[in-house]
Amino acid sequence: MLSPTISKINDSLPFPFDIQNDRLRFQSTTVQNQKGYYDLVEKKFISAQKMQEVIDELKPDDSFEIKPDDSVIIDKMKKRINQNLSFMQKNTRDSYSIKLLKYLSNRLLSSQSEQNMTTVILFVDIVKSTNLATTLPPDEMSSLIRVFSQEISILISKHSGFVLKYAGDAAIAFFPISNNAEVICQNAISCAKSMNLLIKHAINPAFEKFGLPEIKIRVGVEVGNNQIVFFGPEPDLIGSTITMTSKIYPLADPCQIAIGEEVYKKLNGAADHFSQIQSDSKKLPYTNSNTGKEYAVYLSKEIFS
Amino acid sequence: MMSSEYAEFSILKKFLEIGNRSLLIKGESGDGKKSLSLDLARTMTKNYNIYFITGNKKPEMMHTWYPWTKSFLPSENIIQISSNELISSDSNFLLAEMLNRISDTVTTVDDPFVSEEVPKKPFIILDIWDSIITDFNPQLKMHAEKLVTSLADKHNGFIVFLSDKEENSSLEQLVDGVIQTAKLYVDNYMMREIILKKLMGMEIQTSKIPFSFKNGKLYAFSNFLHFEGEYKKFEPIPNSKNRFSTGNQSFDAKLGGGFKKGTIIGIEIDPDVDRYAFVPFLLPMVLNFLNHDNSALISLSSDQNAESYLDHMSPHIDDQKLLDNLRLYCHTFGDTKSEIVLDRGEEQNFESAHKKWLGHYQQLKEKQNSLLMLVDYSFIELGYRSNLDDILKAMIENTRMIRHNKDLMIMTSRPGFQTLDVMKSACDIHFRIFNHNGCTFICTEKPKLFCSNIQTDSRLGFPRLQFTDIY
Repeated sequence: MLSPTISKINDSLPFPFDIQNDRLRFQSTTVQNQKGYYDLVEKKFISAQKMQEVIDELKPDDSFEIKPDDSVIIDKMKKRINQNLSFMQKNTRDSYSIKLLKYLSNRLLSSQSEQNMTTVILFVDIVKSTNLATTLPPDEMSSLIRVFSQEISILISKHSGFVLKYAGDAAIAFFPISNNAEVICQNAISCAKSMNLLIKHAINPAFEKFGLPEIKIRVGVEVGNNQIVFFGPEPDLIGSTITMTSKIYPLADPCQIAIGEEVYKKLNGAADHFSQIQSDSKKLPYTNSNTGKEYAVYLSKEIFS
Repeated sequence: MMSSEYAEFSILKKFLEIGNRSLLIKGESGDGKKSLSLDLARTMTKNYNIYFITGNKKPEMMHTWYPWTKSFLPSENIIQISSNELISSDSNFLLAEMLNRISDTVTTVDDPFVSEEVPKKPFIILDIWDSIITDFNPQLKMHAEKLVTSLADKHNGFIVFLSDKEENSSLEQLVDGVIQTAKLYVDNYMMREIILKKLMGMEIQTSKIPFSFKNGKLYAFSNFLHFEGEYKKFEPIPNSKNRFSTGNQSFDAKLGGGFKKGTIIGIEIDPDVDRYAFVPFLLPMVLNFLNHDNSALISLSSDQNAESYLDHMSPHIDDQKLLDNLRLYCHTFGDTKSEIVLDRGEEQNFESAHKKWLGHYQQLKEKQNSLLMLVDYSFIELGYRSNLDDILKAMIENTRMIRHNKDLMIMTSRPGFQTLDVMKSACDIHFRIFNHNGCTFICTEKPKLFCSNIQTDSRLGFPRLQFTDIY
């Protein structure tokens, strides 16, 4: 049974959870007659105006959706991707917004250290990335991964999620459940769908322009309890849900979404878009501890290629 | 071609790249400390932000004196601590102020959604160090030295101390590298050199690097190099009314258009100079003479092979012109003797050899054209030791004849030979080719015209001198 855990930070404050007043990270200051914040970790000044632009771009938006014919959103993404790919030959690191998102994620988890947290877990990885890694020069491969990671991180944030970690060509996200589990599950599924559309309509056209190969992704989603732990300096999540999600997503075909049965149960009407895996060769050899039965996995009927 | 990035300075660049953090550049005012430090900084701009901390150089003046620094040393990175501050302030305060100004550079987020470039590390050139520590007692001085070097460690950067002081023992122990810039004089020509005293992690094979400046940038001289190129036929340079071209435009420019007709050129060659160094001097001149239907009468060194001379010339000139206008007087080997290559070995004494020589001169002059005569007198002196008086007399005779006929004569000799003294007195222009710190130079001793590092440039298809002047 799902038991919603309410985050103090997440519940009491809107995004970005008053991070500007986080004295461990920011000091209000004025540089060259511009009001803003000095980031103590990054040792950089960000103007208040730019900070607001970042917040506006990253804040969760229930109505956010990528539509193939929505040129405003897609053009904006393309412009950003092109800009980042133009730095392909340079020695670069993550953009400021990505560092901010990672800090928000760590800050949220750190505030509830060693507690259980009910979350939707989302796994996403690039299909056949080993082929890419062995054929692309390292600087092109790192640019490809950097652009992919940045764009999916923005999507995750817009769908009320947080990036837990990046692992090369893969990323793990969590979507904390406060009260309405169905909405959050639906958010995560929408996020997975948006990721596929982002790749099809913005990332791959930009990659083609820069001579990079097109990519496809697989996404897996499941919901349940996880424990927040610290392995080293950064918080992490462990538990059966995150483990099962890691087993679920490889069952999806490229451009397809795989969901576990706990998410499927929460979807109500939206569940019609998924069908259960019947093939014995694709079934997971695990039992669902809630039902005592074979663990069911569902695949999206739609392939987003 | 031989920029500081190219040749011997590579040891300094490597010293910076392997992770060292500090360097002391010592030297008197005007010895090139600032230029050297800025030139080193220029090669490190990919990973470093360059800062120049100075007491008396306003940013705009730095860019006026060193215009090539504009691209990597923006005005805001030239930190000036004014003379007033230096006079009126406590040295401790100045030190603190300097550290603050370096640390006070705030970077801003330009586009939060664009990948950030990996931040550059600070490369700090301290042109003000002597002024800051001037009133410090030894203990305080050591403390300050440790504080500033630790600044480089803290920021993963690099710090260069510039100092006019000869005595810097405590700092020399603390820093990773010590080099000295110096001036010295060779035959009244000012030479500059870098003396490598300590470079942690580097094997110093050559402790002195001669250098000069070109367009305000440091220029390392190199040892004698040959730049090879594709074959391209020699293009003769026209002679003016009064001058013979050297066949090398840059050489002509140094001489005001070539050698005056009737000139006696003396070339003193130091014993340790690469024997090939003379070839790029001579060959374009001979080619230019022959291409203008003039003649050349050349007395080679005893051990030189006439065939190799002909090999150099034949691609650039018609066989008939060679046959008609060139005579090489030398010791022949095997069947190399020909109408062009004459055997000196047949003559038992200098008198008969000289007679034969004059006979060829007369024969070549029958066409009423100009002639280039070349004699290596140190080898003549070696070959006919018992006829030294005759040789010296013949030298004078030849010079008189050449001047009278407005031809051109090149005589060479070496230290230790008596012909050298006569050559020096008799010639109109005295060149000296010598080695200094492993590099080959040519200078004019009489009159004082220029002193240059020389290389052989064969990129036009034949060897000619390439000059890098000293400043």
